[in-house]
Amino acid sequence: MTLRSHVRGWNEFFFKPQSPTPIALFRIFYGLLTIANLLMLRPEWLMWYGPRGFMTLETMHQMTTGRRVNFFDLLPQTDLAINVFFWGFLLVAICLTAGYMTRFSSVAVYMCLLSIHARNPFILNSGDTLMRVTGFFLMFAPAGAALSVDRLLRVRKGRETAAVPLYSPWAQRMIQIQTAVIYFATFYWKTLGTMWINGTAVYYAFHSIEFHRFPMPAIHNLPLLALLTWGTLAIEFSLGVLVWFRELRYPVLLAGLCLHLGIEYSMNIPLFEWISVAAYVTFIYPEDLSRAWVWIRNRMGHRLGEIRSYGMAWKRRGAA
Amino acid sequence: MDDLVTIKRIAITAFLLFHIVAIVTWAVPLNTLLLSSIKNRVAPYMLWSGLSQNWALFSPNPISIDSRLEAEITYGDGSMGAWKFPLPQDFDYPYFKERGRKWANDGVRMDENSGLWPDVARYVARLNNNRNTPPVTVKLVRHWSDIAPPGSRQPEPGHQCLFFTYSVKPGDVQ
Repeated sequence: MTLRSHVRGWNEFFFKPQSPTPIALFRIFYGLLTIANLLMLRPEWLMWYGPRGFMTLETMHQMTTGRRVNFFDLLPQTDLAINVFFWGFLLVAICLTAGYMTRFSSVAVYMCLLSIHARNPFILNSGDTLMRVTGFFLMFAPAGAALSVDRLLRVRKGRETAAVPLYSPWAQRMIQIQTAVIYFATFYWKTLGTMWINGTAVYYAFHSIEFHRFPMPAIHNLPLLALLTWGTLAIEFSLGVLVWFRELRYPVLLAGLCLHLGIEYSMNIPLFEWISVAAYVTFIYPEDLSRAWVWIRNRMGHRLGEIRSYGMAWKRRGAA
Repeated sequence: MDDLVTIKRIAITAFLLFHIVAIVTWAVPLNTLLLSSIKNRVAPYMLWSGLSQNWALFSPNPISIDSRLEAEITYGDGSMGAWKFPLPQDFDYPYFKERGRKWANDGVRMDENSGLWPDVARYVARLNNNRNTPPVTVKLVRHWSDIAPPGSRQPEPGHQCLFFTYSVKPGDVQ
């Protein structure tokens, strides 16, 4: 290994042009989750962010440190202004999902997200943090280069051909790195606790009324709960480290998907599981994504063909 | 043209290196002198940019208590009322109400967040200003019980503690 080979490896990893489809797909999931988050916040919007809500802007300033991006500082402290901000945020989130004015909408969504996080940081869960840290790098990514209204307009105006141009994936790589760091960090944190080592952590998590969601079978089966505890550690370590090995990537992502679906079923932690799984899209090799797309299109085409022939047979029967 | 590409690539590489170092030192709980120093130096940027992060999820140990907050309200005529901070388990659609849990149990309940308590008491007073006489006092009370340890199916005894009393001013409920 020489310095030159390291530089070559770095350049290849971060700068070798590749299809922007994975990051575009992530943009769509990210946008949909932002919209879902906003709609879930809507009934209590003024309670969390309004001037007569749980916490005034003045208290927020006293309780937090450091300079933060916060549009609420610029808004008049009236219910109307805070509600207008909601609708503006929703509008740019829809634009981001559709890939319309993608660069602008990704920056606007991020700024709005930062603002609501700064306005009331006491209601944020890990899903919010994940939205924020991945949203940061999404601003730099060619997220509108595929699967977007922007691309459709460019093709229509003759600025692009049917073939999607390739781009340096450095921003997508940063989302991958950020995601892997999260898993490694949470694995490391857990190894500092006795309950994760003695196998009782999942017992306590499942027995907490605060997080309870759907009924869990075998909630008192201690050997099984110990296995789940250690399995969580193994999967989180794998998602932080082993995910970088090509041969192991998909089995590791599948294990992560199972972990998150299990948490989604058993525990009430809204959106965290979905944004985590959405970030997995950035780990899919573009060529595999293309293959999957061709497979889906063929299946859909086949199904559509079947439906069409059923329809025609139905029509013929009706005519007879 | 090539020079421009090279300069751009060098700038992006510097950006990437800075962020990788900043994110790793911020996220991974290693307290070496060097990492702490880096963390302190990048802290203002991480807060401003929104990249500050903590991944101590259910760790080092998951919480082993169930808790909830209540407010005891005394009205001008001496009558009393109680208001429970809404928690997800109180609703048919708990998925939409998780922020209430975060706010009450991880936020307001904590002593280090005592700066929130007057605002919270005022909000509770406004919310409960629905009798002939307005609220005059709001008391915030913590209730909690340990989660029964593995192997035990007996519920643990409950505890409670009054942690804040607020005298409501006439302007608070308007």
